[in-house]
Amino acid sequence: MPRLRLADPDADAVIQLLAAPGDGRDLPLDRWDRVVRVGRACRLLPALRQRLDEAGVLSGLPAPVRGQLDSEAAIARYRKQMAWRELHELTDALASVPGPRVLVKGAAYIVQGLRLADARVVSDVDLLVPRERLAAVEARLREAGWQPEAVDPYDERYYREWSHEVPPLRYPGHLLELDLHHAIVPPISRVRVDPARLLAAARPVPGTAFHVLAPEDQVLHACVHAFVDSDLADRVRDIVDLDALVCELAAAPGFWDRLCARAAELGLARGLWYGLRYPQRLLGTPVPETVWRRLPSPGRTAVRTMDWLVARATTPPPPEGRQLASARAARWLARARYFRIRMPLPILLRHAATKGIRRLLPHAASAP
Amino acid sequence: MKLGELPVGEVERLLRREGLGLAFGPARVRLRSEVGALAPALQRVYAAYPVEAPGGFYDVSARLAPAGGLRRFVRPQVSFWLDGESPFEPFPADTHLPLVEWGVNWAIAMRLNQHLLLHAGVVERGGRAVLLPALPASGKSTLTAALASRGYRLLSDEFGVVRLGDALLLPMPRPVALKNESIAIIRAFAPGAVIGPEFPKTRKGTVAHLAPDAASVAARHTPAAPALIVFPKYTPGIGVEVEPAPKARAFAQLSVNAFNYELLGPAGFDAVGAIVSRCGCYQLRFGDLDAAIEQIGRLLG
Repeated sequence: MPRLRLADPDADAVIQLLAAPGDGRDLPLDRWDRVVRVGRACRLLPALRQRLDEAGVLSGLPAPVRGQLDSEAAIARYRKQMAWRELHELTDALASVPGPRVLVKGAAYIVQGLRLADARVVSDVDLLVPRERLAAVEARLREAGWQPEAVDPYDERYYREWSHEVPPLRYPGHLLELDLHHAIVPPISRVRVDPARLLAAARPVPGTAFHVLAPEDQVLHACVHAFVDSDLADRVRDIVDLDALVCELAAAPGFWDRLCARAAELGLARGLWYGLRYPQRLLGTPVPETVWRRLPSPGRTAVRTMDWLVARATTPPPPEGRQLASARAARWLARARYFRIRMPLPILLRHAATKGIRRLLPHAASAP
Repeated sequence: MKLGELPVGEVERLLRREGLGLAFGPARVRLRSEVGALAPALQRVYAAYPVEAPGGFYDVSARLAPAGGLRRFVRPQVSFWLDGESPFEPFPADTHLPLVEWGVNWAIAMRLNQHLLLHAGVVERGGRAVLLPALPASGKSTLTAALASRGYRLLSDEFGVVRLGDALLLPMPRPVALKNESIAIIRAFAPGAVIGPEFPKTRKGTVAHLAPDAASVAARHTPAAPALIVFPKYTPGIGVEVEPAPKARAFAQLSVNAFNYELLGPAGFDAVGAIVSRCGCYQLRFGDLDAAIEQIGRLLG
């Protein structure tokens, strides 16, 4: 099967290098110039550096290219360190609160010591707690000094009633935000994932005060985050995360069986199908043939539409020149799809009216 | 070909089209501009710089473009663009060079984390470099400019770029930004100095840029070993007073003022430690530039 290509040729070159880092040996400097600029905008340079290093290519690269990869890797390393800081302080702050504290996404990869966590730009710390404990955990964190970002009353209501998280918290002076979740998708979303079942399968991480989701649930969550509860915008890095995560977790015996069974059980088979398709088609992630036979395939039109959207909407605007009209259209459509999954129509109309229709246009900032 | 030797029309064309490439030692910067007036100003303050081929690899690709909106008919403004992002509010159109200098400094501070970036002026003589860390009202830029016009090699007036590993200082001899009364002081102190146009009413008052001399630019790929740290404090009315600074305090002041000390973690700690242990550290209060330069020469040995 031919590789799926991203519409932006420079972003596609970044993906090709991630898939085949050995090709970096022969890349001329002006190609590196574009790869580094787009890779930086995609926040993929730490991952690229890691893969070039593992392929034995990094040390032979021209010094200025290596310098920029080192610079971005230093930023990622610092953010990872700041995530540890947040986790240490959370451990103390929440010592008196009963119940598991489940880390998801970046912070979960960090506490598990996954290789992927060394090459990711962690953006915030995400903590999942049972809904009935949410108020107690939030109150305890406020008491310990974390403060909510200033949000207007409408946003406050949006978070409290329609979202799966509370307004982001930050300890004054800390680099990273803390996002407190009670579910992995908004409660009003069409895609329902019962958080209780995820929490029941969560497991403690030895040597820490935290739990993480079961390995297969971590993959399913990453799929949901990238393709279901997602407007696809700039999500190319989530596809790279999925590639790395699947490669790292699939080493455990029986992983694929458990993954397929769990996807069916949680009603996330479609999300998993997309979440495996794009890493495989873009990066060559090894997915066993049996897995494809076990997962129900979406219809041909749906797949072709999604291919078209993923190739155009998942990369940021190019560093120079205008974004292609088709990329702008793809981002608009991906956003429309996202809202349709995320909100029932009456709430969507209200949200759109309140936020102003301009926020639904392709160049809009991200919605909460 | 040196930038100062190109016809201005050619510089304008490069800025509009493929970009003007300049190699500042550890940072290669490619500039584009839709603002024509930038060309002669750049030529004056970067005259000694060879023009690099616009292809190839650059750490920073920046662009100056007129800001949109109705305002452009009343009070034209320009924006600084870095890879499709515009990190600052637009500036008035006639402060193009200060915006480029400020923007490029910002980009370098964000992009050169493979090195420790101290906030300091750096000059060198006889293979021994002097660090002049920036503290408010220290007179760091004025003193750096004065040293550079008395035979010291200019490494930078803003960035002490420390290569991790060997803790050598990498030169980035860009124009020295002189503010307000410093401009007249340096004009009087070094009548032969090449100073670019004055830009009044920037957010830092009037700004003008002292061009780095040809020898400093030619040596921009030659690192220098740190030998002396001088914390200057401009004190009107006195000649010069010097006293040793405790090394622990020098460490604290260098690290607190650095752009990316915290970000680099242990590597930053080791680099600052290596520098402080190799350098003599002094507090220098000065009201007279000649006396200050003479004192620094004595400390340097």
